[in-house]
Amino acid sequence: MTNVAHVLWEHLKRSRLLFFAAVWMSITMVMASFGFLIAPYDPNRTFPGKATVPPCLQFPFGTDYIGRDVLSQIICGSSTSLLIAFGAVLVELLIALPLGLLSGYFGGRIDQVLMRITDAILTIPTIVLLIVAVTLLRVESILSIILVMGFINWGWLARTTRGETLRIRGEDYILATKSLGFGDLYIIGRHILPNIISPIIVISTFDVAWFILYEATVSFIGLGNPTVPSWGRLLYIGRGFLTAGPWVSAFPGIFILLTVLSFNILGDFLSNLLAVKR
Amino acid sequence: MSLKRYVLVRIALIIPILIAVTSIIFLLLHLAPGNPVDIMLATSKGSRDIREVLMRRFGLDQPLHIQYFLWLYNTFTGNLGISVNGLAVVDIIAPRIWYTLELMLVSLVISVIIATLLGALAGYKHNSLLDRALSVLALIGYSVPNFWLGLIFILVFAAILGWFPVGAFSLGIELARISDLTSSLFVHLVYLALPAAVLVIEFTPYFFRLLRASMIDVAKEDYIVTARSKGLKETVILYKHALRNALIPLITAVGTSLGFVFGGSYVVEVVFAWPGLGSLLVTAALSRDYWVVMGVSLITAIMVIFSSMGIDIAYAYFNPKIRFGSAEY
Repeated sequence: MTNVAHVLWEHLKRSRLLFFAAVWMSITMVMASFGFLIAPYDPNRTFPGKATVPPCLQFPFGTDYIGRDVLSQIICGSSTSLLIAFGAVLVELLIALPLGLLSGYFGGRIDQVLMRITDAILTIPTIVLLIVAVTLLRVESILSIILVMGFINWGWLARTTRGETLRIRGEDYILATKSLGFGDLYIIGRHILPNIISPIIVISTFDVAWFILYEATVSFIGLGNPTVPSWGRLLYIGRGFLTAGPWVSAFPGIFILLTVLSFNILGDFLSNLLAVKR
Repeated sequence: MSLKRYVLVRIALIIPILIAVTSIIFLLLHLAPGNPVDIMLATSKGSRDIREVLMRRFGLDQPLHIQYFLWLYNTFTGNLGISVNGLAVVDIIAPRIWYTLELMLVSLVISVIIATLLGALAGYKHNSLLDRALSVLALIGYSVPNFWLGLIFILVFAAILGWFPVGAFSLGIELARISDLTSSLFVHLVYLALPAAVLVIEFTPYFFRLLRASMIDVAKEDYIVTARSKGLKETVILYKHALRNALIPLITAVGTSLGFVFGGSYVVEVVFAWPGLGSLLVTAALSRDYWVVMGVSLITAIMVIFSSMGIDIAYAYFNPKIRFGSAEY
């Protein structure tokens, strides 16, 4: 463990980008975990007569059109955005890993069917499918948006998992294990999965970034849950009075940008470190 | 395998994908709480008779698999249903396709050109100051939420500086229709500028990163070393020898990125009230106009499938080495 920490520290010292990503991720993690303690006000508290106040000492990022503090909404909204992004990646992994492993390992008819379904999923733009699903299924709670996003976006991960499995299933050490009489599930879990984990880690990291963007997009369009503070909801509110209160849109956008950027930097770093060819 | 055979196989392979896509959309519609006909009638207070007629019209009184085939049959005969406001979905969608394609193609072409020039340079001069600066810029462009950038552009360039009109594009078109072709083109350009700029900022980093990576690989090849040892100029090596080979992965990448490209355009359309499929999708989604939502997603899937097939075929045409057996499909 000390070794890992040491290597990481060496990389952090060398790359300013990675250093920035680490710092920003720590900040967002703290905001997401202890938001209600750090936030200056309750994010849903309205200040009478303080609607659309520009940034000042009392409200560093200003207030929205019904007098809620923007900074508090951003701090408390971070947990919504991150929870949804990480949750969706987890759901996506739970779907894509078994499908990709089975497809790649067994091949044949299962593979054909699963890959055609994957093709179909990949054909419709994720955001379009997301808008359709959120509308038709009347998605409102955080849990259901996590499930819907995970169920929509697993195509790429499944295809990569399948491709990687296919690549190594004919390797000598796999054949050797097979000839020793070990079962398929044992081989998949003990030998195949550990050997294909690098691209999966890299794709999952980039997907955290994508899911943050998707969540923000869905809320921005007006399909999000109006009672839960999130970065996307703030942008949706801010869009309505862009010229009267540009700070309501500007600040949450910068937070989304920096967070997505951090995860993309981490993704790039991991794919270099783990020598993943994309 | 001959090109003709390749094209035929490629077309045949579309059918299972189309069936899968339509099944997914069809299933989503039926998983949805509430019957589409009930929702259509909720606003117009239809009687039981109308309800029954509509149920029969859309085949909703049939078992599920029959419904699917009926829906498929209707779809292929150009009947995509009726929107909440009583218009045929096809008539609502058709005129918007062009606007979506206009915005998307303009942005895509500009992005690919910029990405090719800069990506080739950055990859060729790997690890130089220029490369690192461009890579960081690309990473930032890659991470910007496109709709937020759209809002900022509207605020800065339209509302504050007043360089571009603030209102919806459809208003501008109405005005242009009265006058001549030149001013109509001008109106298009004026309204296209900001959304296209946002999309270019979104798409360019994606293709830039691809081309840069492919260029780094090509620059290590023996024929580049040979070219240099012959004493050729660096610009000749870069654009004549290296770029040509580095472009190959970019062509396939454009094909596989179409989902991302369509998705990006749709969201940006909403911000700028561009009268394309994306803004239609969102308006329909917000008013729970099921048949329009279905129609737009179906048309999108079909456009993506056919254009990526077109790119694959063009790729096979220009690259005789490609053999069907070794390809993904």
